[in-house]
Amino acid sequence: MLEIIDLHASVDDKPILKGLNLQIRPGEVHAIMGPNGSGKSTLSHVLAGRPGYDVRGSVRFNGQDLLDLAPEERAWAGLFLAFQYPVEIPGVSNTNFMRSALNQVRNQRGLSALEAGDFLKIMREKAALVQLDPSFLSRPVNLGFSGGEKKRNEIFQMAMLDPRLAILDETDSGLDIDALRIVAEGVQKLRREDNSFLVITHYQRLLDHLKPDIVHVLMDGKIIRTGDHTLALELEEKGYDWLKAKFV
Amino acid sequence: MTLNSITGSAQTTEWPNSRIEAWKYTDLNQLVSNMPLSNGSPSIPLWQVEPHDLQSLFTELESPEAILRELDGFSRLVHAAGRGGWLAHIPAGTSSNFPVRLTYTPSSNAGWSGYTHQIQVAEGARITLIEEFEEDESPENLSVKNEPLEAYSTPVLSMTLHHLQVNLARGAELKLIRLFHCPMSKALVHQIDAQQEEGSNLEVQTVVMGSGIIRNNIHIQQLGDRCSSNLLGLSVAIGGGHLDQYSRIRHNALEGNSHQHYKAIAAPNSTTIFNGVLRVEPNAQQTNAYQRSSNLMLDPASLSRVNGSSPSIRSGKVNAKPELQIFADNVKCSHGATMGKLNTDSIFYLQSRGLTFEEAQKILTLAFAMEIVDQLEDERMRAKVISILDLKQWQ
Ligand SMILES: Nc1ncnc2c1ncn2[C@@H]1O[C@H](COP(=O)(O)OP(=O)(O)OP(=O)(O)O)[C@@H](O)[C@H]1O
Ligand SMILES: [Mg+2]
Repeated sequence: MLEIIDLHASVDDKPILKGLNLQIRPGEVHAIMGPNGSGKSTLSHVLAGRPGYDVRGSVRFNGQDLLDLAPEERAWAGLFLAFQYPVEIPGVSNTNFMRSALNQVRNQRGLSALEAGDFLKIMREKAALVQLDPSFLSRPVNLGFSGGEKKRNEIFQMAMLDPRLAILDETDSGLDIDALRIVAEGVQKLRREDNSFLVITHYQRLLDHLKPDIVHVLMDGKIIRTGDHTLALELEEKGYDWLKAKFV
Repeated sequence: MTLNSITGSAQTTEWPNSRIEAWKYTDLNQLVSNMPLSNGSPSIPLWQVEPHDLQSLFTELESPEAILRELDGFSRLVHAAGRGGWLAHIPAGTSSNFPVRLTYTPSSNAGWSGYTHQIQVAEGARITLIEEFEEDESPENLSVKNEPLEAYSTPVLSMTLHHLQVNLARGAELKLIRLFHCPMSKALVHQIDAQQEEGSNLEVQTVVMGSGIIRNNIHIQQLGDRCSSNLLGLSVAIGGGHLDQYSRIRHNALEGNSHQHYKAIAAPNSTTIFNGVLRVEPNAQQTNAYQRSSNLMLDPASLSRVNGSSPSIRSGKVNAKPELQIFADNVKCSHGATMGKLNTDSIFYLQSRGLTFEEAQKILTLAFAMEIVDQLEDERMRAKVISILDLKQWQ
């Protein structure tokens, strides 16, 4: 599904990712943990194609060279990023945004555009999946949404676009206990044998729900440790210092 | 017929040209000097009024000299063309809930022509006028290829000038809602000269769009106390368009109000200009004046791509200049001009959901324009503007 080899990324000559390797197979759920500022969001941005980074290395995504693709082409190929800080877009309603996005993605995947009625039906269905109040659909994208509402809207968009690989960048931060459960259940329902998740988080709670197959620790721009879900428990208990000590 | 043969040597006022501050970006003299005065008389009427109770109040103006008032360079130029226009006297007591709609016929001849119009709204009368100035793509007889003039990226083969004189008597109210749409190789120039008496209310909403040249002047003088003037403007310049909006409001009495909100979008290779002059005379105490202009410059899609930059396409260009001349001390005046590009994070967010750069740019640009479009006080005009905007290519 995804194979990252020796990935480097810098901003204004400041190195942030420093030779990162990662492999995700279909059906797997991976978690990435790591201290603030270690490069987790940068990894997610570089994978999604955000401009402004100087990138070296190789990223294969389902046989394609991901780094060669424009951001929208990555979305068409089935990559989805739930942003740590979703962007507010005044004047553009969630519904119109999703209609344009879904129809473009379908078009690129060789499917026909949806009839208005079918689109609304799918939209209501997916909103219900993450228990997003339908009133949010007619509001401008993320504008004035609370932190948790924005995160829920990200998962709603993910459900709409049906990606092969979804990267969730701290989607659990800012969610209340119920919302966390709803989002986790939403993700569980979307899990299939042919899609994968990369979940960036600081907390054990989301992982309790999602039961990741593999947990990585990202520190100073590199994956310095990989293990099963018990690694997350260990981190919860001991923090990162013991790894730092070993690592230096 | 050349310009000199009409005007003779007794020319005392300069034609509008770029040495005059107000005409810095749009040199009318240069445009006029580079094309003949159009001599073809239109086979169909220049303007048409949709059926309306007040339709008969709009009559053909035979001789523009009869209403000659302000002798600035522009009005002289228009008068020199010697064409009439329409005349409307709206009597006291008029109050119509339905707007009067005027449509202007596109020019079909090469060269320039000028028309003079006048509307007088009597004491307490209220009327809304909706005008559409839509030039079509150049017909065949205009397809001669000229070199573009310096300062514009398109050659101009045909130009129409309009001068509208407005008189508002005490307590009168006039709303003008206008659309100017001008394709490449054509130019439209319009100037309003309005005088307001006590307690009158003038509202002018203007949308200018296209890849040709448009200059829209609004000159207002508040002569009586407690007048109010509201200007709303949207410019959408694409494909090499040059759209220049100019306002000049002169507060010359007590407790006047003026409110201006202009927005402009300059697509790649295109230019928009906003120059708003606000003058508050010493006797105009307790004036309340507000002016805001927000401007958006669009980048070519090639800039967003790693390996495909094309140096021949430049980003949209904006000139925005508020000019405040305040000679009274007890007044409230505020103004602001902003200029910027689309937020790259917003574009990336939309792209990450599968929209192309062009689609993302279009959605965000329309959202920017809608703030003005939503305020247009006519459902049909709103629908029309939206449908035109929807079809525009921003690249
Ligand atoms: N555009 C930028 N300019 C300068 N520095 C940047 C830029 N983007 C990221 N950085 C720096 O790179 C480092 C990694 O940032 P990143 O956002 O990837 O961290 P993170 O692991 O996601 O942290 P957190 O857990 O707080 O979300 C930080 O030190 C950050 O300040
Ligand atoms: Mg982060």
